[in-house]
Amino acid sequence: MNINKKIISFLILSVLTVSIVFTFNSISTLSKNQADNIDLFKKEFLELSRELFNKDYNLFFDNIDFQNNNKSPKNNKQLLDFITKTYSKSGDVIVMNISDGQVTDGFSNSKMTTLFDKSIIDGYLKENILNQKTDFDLDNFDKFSADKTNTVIPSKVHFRIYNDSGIIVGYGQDFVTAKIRIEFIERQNVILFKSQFYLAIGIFVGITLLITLLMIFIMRSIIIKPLQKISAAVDVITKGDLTKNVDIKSKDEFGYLAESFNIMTGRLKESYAYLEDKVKERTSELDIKVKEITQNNIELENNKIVIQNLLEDFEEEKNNAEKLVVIRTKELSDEKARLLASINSLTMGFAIVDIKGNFMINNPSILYILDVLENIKSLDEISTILDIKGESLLKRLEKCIVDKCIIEMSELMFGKKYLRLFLTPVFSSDSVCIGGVLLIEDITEAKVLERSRDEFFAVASHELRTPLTAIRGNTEMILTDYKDKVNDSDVKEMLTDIDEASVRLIGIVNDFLEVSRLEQGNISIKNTKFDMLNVTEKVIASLNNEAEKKKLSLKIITPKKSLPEIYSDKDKIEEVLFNLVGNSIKFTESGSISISFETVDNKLKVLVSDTGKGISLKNESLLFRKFQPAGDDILVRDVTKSTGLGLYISKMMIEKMGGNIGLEKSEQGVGSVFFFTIPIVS
Amino acid sequence: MPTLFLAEDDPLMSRMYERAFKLNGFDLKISFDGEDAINTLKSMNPKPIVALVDVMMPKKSGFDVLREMKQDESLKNIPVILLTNLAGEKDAEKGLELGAVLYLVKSQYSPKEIVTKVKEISAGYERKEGIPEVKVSIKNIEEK
Repeated sequence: MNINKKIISFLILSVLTVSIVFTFNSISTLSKNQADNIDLFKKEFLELSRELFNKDYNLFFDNIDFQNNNKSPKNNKQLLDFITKTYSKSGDVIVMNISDGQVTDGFSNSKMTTLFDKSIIDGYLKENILNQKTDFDLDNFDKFSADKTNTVIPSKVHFRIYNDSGIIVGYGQDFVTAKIRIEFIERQNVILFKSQFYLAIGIFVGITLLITLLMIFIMRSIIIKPLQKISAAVDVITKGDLTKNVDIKSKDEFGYLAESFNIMTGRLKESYAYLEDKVKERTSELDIKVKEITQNNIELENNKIVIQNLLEDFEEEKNNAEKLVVIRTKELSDEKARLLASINSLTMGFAIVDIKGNFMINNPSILYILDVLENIKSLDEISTILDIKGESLLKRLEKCIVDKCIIEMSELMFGKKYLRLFLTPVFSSDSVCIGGVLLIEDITEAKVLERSRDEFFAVASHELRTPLTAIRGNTEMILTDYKDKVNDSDVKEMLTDIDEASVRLIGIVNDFLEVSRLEQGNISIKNTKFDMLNVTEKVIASLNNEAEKKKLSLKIITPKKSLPEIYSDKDKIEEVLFNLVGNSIKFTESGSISISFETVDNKLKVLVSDTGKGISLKNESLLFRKFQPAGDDILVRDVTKSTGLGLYISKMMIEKMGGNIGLEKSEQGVGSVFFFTIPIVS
Repeated sequence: MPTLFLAEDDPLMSRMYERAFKLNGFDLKISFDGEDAINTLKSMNPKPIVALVDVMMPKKSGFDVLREMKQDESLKNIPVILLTNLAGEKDAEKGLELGAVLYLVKSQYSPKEIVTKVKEISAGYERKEGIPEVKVSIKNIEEK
């Protein structure tokens, strides 16, 4: 489409748009006027109807009243007769009884019931009778509208009550003819509107065409002709002829354009010549460049070969690495197999569970221990099988993950078995919990052994002592009560040895039993309040003989302040002190043994100092061990002095009572100081 | 001569104690089991001034003998010493609860010491001063 046609189409379109907008505006104005006309007419019509109706019903009722008053009818029969006579064809009449609202004979008019619904009339009458009104209207004017969809016929009824006769008389009319009139007017309006509309369109189209033609003519002479000239010149130049000039002499923009165009073609001629020189120059330069690039390409090709070689080397390396991975993988799978074999050969039940308690690996032993045939799938099953009270194992494991602890349940009763269970959370290298390890051990045999050991000790304590008592008792009696009869000094010495041996053996038996009880924890502490000084005096009194035999002085360094009251097991404290002082006596040849007291924090410290030979540093660490006498080297032991259990027993007892026992200090050739501590009554 | 009563099933023991008491001027009547002990005690006239009773014995234990003695009008005032090698703390407590005046672990006392204990008790008994208060040393009694 050339510019000529474009301009024409544009002009026609714009004019058409303006006319259409204008036309629609006129149409809407017309419609509004029409609606206004109808409303006005409706109002006037209803007013007129009401006026006419009022005249009609007044005439009707005046007539009845007149007849009624003059002829004085005393019953409704007579009144009805009057109404019959008065009844005019211009309206409809209805007569009803006041009492029951029923239509009185001869005065129902079908038209009345079509005008108004019977129930509306009934309700309306009742309301007005109640309000003691004698005259009232009923109309449906408010429901009437004057448009074409209207179906309500405007109508009205006037009621009057005749109490003397007991009847209600209604006079009504409809205004259906008026409705027809409205429709006619409406139709007239539409016709008027249509003719106006067509006229308007005709005028607008005509004007539009005229304007368009005028515009086309102007456009053609002013714009299009010069443009065509320029277009033709451009065509020539495009074909390569730069000698062609445009011939437009006008003084407007087109004239300037033509002049500029001519100047431009001149310049183009010059530029073209210059460009040709330039192209020649550039072509020679490009030739040089091409040579350089060819050289570069050769170098690049060489580089490519080097890189290819490198890539080949790399490929080889990669293959080697892959081989290594294969070897490592094999090693790992071997490792796994070994690990699995170890786990499977464990007599202890073993399982690895994930974070949700599901079994990942387990060995056959766990099934054997728990007497189950089918594989166990989760920790919850274990909880059920073992009938674990309180929190389930999974719950406990979850707690342990937070606290980083280990669950240990020893002596779980399972049928006739005793089981011990361990459950430990497993953490990955970055401290994330990845599950847990479950160990279940059947400790039934160990329990049986433990029980038989207890029984052994009970038997030993009773059965060993009885013969020993006989040996000791008889020997002692021979040496005291029958000493006159033993004259031979060798026999006497032998009897003394038997006596000493039996005393020592009883001591050993007692110490052994005590150690085993302490080690098993079968010892109860009976705490009471007591005075340590009393206990010390009692111990000194019982050991005084021994000390005197060795000419050692045994003394208490009486504290300046009275000692705090002690809350502990008095008999056991007494035994420990007896032990320490007894040891000091045994290992001191001359000098003295003294007992002193200190209060340290919440504890009373009892110190036993002697002037014995002292204990060398290397033996210090051996003290308080089982079968380790307080004296000297383990191999150079003096069996006549002790079994070596005394300090060990003392240490276990003191620790059980919340105290401490140890060697305070010792210097060889000067003496040793032992101590123990006991809690003070707080 | 004051008479004692001893219930002891082990002849090693009974012979030793018999000798020790006789040397110290006591007359001693011995039973070798629990049942015989009760019968002998009932038949004895005069009654012994102290009864020494072992715990572990055939037929009836020392505890049973003690219990029956305490229920018998003629025997209930005889002081009873339980003389045994059963060194459990619970046993000692039980014996004293049942009314024994002493619970002695045999291995811890020489016959002479036991004679001394009997003398102390019988002296108090004769003087009608009641039974002297005696304690059981923990050294001699084991805990169970």
